[in-house]
Amino acid sequence: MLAGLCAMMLTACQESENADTIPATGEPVMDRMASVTLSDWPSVRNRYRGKILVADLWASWCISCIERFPAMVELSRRYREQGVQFISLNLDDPTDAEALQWSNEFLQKVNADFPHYHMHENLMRSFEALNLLGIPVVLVFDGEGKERFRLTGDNPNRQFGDKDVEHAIQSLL
Amino acid sequence: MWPKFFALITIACLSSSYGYAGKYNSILSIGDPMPTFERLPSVSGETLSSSDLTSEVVVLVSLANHCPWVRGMDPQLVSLANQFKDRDVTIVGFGVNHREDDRLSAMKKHAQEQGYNFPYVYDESQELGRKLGATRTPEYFVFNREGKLVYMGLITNSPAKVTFGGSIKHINGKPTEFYVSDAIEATLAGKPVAVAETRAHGCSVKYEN
Repeated sequence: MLAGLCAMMLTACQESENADTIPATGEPVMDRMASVTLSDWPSVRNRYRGKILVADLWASWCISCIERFPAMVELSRRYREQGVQFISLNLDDPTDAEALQWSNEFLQKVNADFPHYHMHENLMRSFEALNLLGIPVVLVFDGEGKERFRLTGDNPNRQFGDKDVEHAIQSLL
Repeated sequence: MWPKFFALITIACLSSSYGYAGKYNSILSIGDPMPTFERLPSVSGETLSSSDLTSEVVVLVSLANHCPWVRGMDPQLVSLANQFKDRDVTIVGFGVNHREDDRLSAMKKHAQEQGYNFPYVYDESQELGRKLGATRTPEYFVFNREGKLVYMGLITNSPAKVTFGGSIKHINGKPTEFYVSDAIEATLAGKPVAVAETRAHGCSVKYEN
């Protein structure tokens, strides 16, 4: 009987240890971002037709992207009820498993509760095809899927801030 | 009809002023003069002005200590400076960001750690960066003896970054095209640069408002 009690206590301890290591949401960390290709990108955007779509382009190596991501999460919550859809498009190197792991964990940490995508393409090819010089970049599409704002850091004298994202959204509401 | 025509022309002119000067640069075009700068502090404790740069070829490169792409391509930059150390070529690195880990004291440490063998100056006013339209790190600008821009963009066709594990990873494997080196050689030989503009790849420079 004593042996049985010890076995029960041991099992309880093991269960408790396991519970501590499972992420709070119960979701596997690697499932945060849906993998897409450049040819998928227009159809991804089409899924959100009828809504104002705000796409945040980022990567784990982009410190400015990381620093401003929480503000995007905050904006997404503020405008959700008004039919504004946020998504993120991660541009980490698809062959860099550590970077993807880090990005997934980051999304979990900041509790970014909108859809996330990862561009599964050669990085230089993505930048060329999406006509990007650098990131962060925020693209804002109207309900008809037309790109209405491209907020970038491409001009040193006109780099965008969080307020510009909000102004862009408000101008389309 | 004419008023309408002139209105359209005016709109076209305004629109083009919001476009790009170079293919991938909103401020500078190939052939533009090197921006002047005065007494920028360097990691060696001296100052550097554009008037000090009298070499046949001058290379300016935007850098940022924190940036994994800068650290990934530092070995290529140091090799480049070694390659041309006995030629009439001056390479100058400049930092622009105001982040604590990109400022002058951090630049000194970084230059030492990475074995920088060229002047590394701090453009705290961000004036040089703005005049160059430098928006990424690293981004290269090559000027000829007349101080005209002959190349801007990447160092090679395979940008590299430091991974979370600390190793260096090239996007496209081993580089096969050496844009800056080729631009310097062509300019020294008095020939036109074959590839004058490429899309620089790296971290974004943060300009203060």
